[in-house]
Amino acid sequence: MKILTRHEEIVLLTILRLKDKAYLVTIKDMIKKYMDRDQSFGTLYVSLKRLKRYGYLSESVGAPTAKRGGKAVKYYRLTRDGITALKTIRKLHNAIWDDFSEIADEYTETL
Amino acid sequence: MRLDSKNPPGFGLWIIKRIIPDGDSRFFLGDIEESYRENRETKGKLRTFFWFWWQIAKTIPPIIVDNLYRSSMMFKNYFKIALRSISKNKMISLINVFGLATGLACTILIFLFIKDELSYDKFHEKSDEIYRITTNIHNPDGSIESVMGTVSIPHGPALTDFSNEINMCVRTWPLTFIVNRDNFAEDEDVFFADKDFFNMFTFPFINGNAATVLDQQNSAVLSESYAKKYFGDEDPIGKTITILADQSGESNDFIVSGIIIDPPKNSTLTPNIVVPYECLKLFGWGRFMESWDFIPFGSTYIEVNDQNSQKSIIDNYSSFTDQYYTAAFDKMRNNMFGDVKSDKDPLSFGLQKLEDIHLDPRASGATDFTKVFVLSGIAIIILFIASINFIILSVGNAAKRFLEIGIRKVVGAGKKQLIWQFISESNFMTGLAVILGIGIVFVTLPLFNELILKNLTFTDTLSASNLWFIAFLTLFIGVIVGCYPALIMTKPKPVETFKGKYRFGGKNIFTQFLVTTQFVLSIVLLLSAITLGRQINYLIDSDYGFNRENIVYLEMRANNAEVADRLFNLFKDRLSNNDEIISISGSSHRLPRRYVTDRIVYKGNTYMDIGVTFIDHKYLQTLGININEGRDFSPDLSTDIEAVIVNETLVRDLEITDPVGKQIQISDETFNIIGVTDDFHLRELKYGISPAVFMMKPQPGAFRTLRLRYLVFKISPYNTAKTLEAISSTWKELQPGKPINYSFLDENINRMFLQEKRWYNIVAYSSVLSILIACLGIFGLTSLTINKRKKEISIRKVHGASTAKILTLISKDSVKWVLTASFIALPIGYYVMQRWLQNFTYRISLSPIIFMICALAILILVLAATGFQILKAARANPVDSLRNE
Repeated sequence: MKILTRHEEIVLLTILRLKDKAYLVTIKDMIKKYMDRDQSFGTLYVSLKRLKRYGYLSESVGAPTAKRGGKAVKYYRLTRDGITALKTIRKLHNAIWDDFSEIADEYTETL
Repeated sequence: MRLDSKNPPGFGLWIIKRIIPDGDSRFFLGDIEESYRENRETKGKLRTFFWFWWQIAKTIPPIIVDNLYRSSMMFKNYFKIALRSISKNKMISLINVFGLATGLACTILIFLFIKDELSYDKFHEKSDEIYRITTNIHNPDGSIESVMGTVSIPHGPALTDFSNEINMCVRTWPLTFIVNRDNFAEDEDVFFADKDFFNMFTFPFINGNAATVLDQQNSAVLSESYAKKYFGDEDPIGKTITILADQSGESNDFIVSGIIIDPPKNSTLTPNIVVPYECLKLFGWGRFMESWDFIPFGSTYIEVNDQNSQKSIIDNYSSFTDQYYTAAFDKMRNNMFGDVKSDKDPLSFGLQKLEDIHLDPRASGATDFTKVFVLSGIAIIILFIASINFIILSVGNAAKRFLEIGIRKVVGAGKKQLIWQFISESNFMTGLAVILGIGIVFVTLPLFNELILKNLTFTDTLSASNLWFIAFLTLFIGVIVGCYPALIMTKPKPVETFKGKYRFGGKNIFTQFLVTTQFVLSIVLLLSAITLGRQINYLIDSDYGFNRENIVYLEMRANNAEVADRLFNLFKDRLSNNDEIISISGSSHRLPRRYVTDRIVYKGNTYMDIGVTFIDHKYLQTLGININEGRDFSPDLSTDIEAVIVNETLVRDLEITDPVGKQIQISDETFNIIGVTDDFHLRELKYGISPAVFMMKPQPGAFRTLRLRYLVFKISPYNTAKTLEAISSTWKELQPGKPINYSFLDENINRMFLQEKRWYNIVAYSSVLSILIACLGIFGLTSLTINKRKKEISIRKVHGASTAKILTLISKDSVKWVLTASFIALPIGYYVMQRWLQNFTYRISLSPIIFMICALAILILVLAATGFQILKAARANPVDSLRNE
């Protein structure tokens, strides 16, 4: 199981939250909302491709709309492996971040 | 493009489409459009405009990086395939790579040579502002007879005053003197130069200040290795070194004031021992320092202000010559034009760029620019032949892989991908070839250095510009060579490859054309090499008209005529009992001579330059020059002092009948002719036979008195070492403190041909190499053909064909190619060589028989190379190949 980068983590979680409506534009907007930072199309595209290659995402094609100039949409969904990956990361995260507040407070005392 | 404001700018979309793979681009573009329209609705036209282009800018880098990553992964795959295909055809691939490697190595070596030749004198900081003043010598009718790279001594400084385009002027003159320190003495080239020499030319100092180092009258600057030679490990600064002129006897002390780093090899100036120009006066040359009509052998250099200076100086030259040269020209007109009335200027002047000097044949020991040109041509030819090989073999090889390609296509490989695969495969091989090629260069560099008389080091080879050149070359060849098979092989439809419809190699017109071209080029090269070799040998072995072997010249180093005579007699006393010395004689010059402008003989209204040689009475005998009329000089007849012996050409040119007994006027004196010799070559062969005069009366000359300067020994061919030792020890006895300088006549002659031999070597080796590469190609091609026709051969065997018949059948193609190539190459070679031989007055005649033997030899070579393989195939058991169907 590959260790996900922060960026990939965020993308996967966003896709999870978006349920059936996850595609490039929506993912981009949601990340902007959470992180208040603008991801470029390019970085997102590359991450999505990579995640797909790892097997964490599956794609499906949706109906074209006029707004897109008549082009179809590519929707992304998490696969089982994707969920497992997220869970693993979560476990790791929890283990490392456990007791963070107490330890941090103790530590600031010594500074 | 519609200007509907709701569409995102088409240009931006076009960029995206270029960098995203086809499959994804539709969706991606749709996403962008959607985003764009949302923004238009919420934020309005202007802000969306900025947003859009900002997005494009941010999008491009990650995608490009990802593309590169992806391609590199693909290339890893391609290389694996390349490796696999190579190991499946080890022999062909080996031949291929090796052939190309050799071709590349050749090209690289030649490139290094050319680069070195073109780099002469470029290391000076101001090299593009330095010019040399040249003198054009005119005929009475105004045409230019010859050009010299030197000019009279006062000319440079006067021109510098006259023209305001010149910054400084430096005169130089390398002369050979004996340099002496604490009893260690040797002949050295002493470089006389004006004070500003180190300001104009860049020779970094180890010790000493460039600007002031030549200020003192008797200062000397040494190069590092010369300092070591004369002073060992001591610090030479402030110490004394003695310079001795053995012609005039003056000896002067010099104090070392500076040490420079050894001058680099690619320099036409060789400042190893530099002394101030004024010191020429100390050695007896003072009377020429102000002479306008004396042209020394040393050059004058000027540094100009800028690029346009040259033109302006040349334009104003006539006013300069009017101001300074009027008297000198009048004098020269009398001397040079004789009785021919002419008001033309006997001299005119020019400026030659410093950087051009080395490649100008007028400078001594230099290359010709045409030769550099020809050499590049040879390099390109070899590379061409090797590349053709590569193409042919790659293509032929690939023919086997049509099946594989078909399957790949069916499975979904894009056409572009396939092309990339082949290009990367061929680049892989080319890369291997380059590495191997550089290895070959490394190994053969010492040998090459010997051939071309240079000293290229391997680190030179790896310099930045060289590496760029090599990288560029590799890529270029790799892509070109890869493209052809790539394009050809990705064309056919997959189904047809299954059916086995596509064959390749062999009968293809393109292949035939390529192979024939290869052989045409190599045969022409070979013919040139052979002709060159024959011509050189002819020149070297030609009969000069006198004995060449076992003649030793010993320079007497006597200060004047009396000393010379005395030394001469002393030597004769000491050495005439030596059994190995057959005869001892003396002369003023060594043969063959460089210049023959000793004296003038008038013929009617004009005059002739003749070469006068001062000799003793045994000279003609020692050198084996035959007297066919009259007699030789006799020691008993004192009147022989006023006598001369001439050669047939002189008699003929002056139209003297019954020369013996007649008188002849040479310059201001009258002489009796007592004998006439057979013609012989006084000078190098190419000058033909010059009129020659021998006399026994010392003559004052323009700068050298005509008197005995050399002892001429005819020694026996046995025990030469002992003989030389005897001569050596006699020298030490009679001329202690002066270094001995002797040379063999035949070696002197051979040395004249050093340059030619160097060229011959290069051309010869190149031609052999190209033939080998071409043969390698045919070898590989034959093996491919055999492979392809294995079944056919087996079937023929089964039907009763004999081994011999099969041999003839398969070799028919190779023979056809070589013969066609010969038919084309022989006439071309003949024509080109004929033109080239016109340059020589004495030349061989081209014999068509030799040419044909050459072609025959190549044919045999090719047959031998391929015959072995064919034989093996012909003898193979037909069952084996017919079995797998």
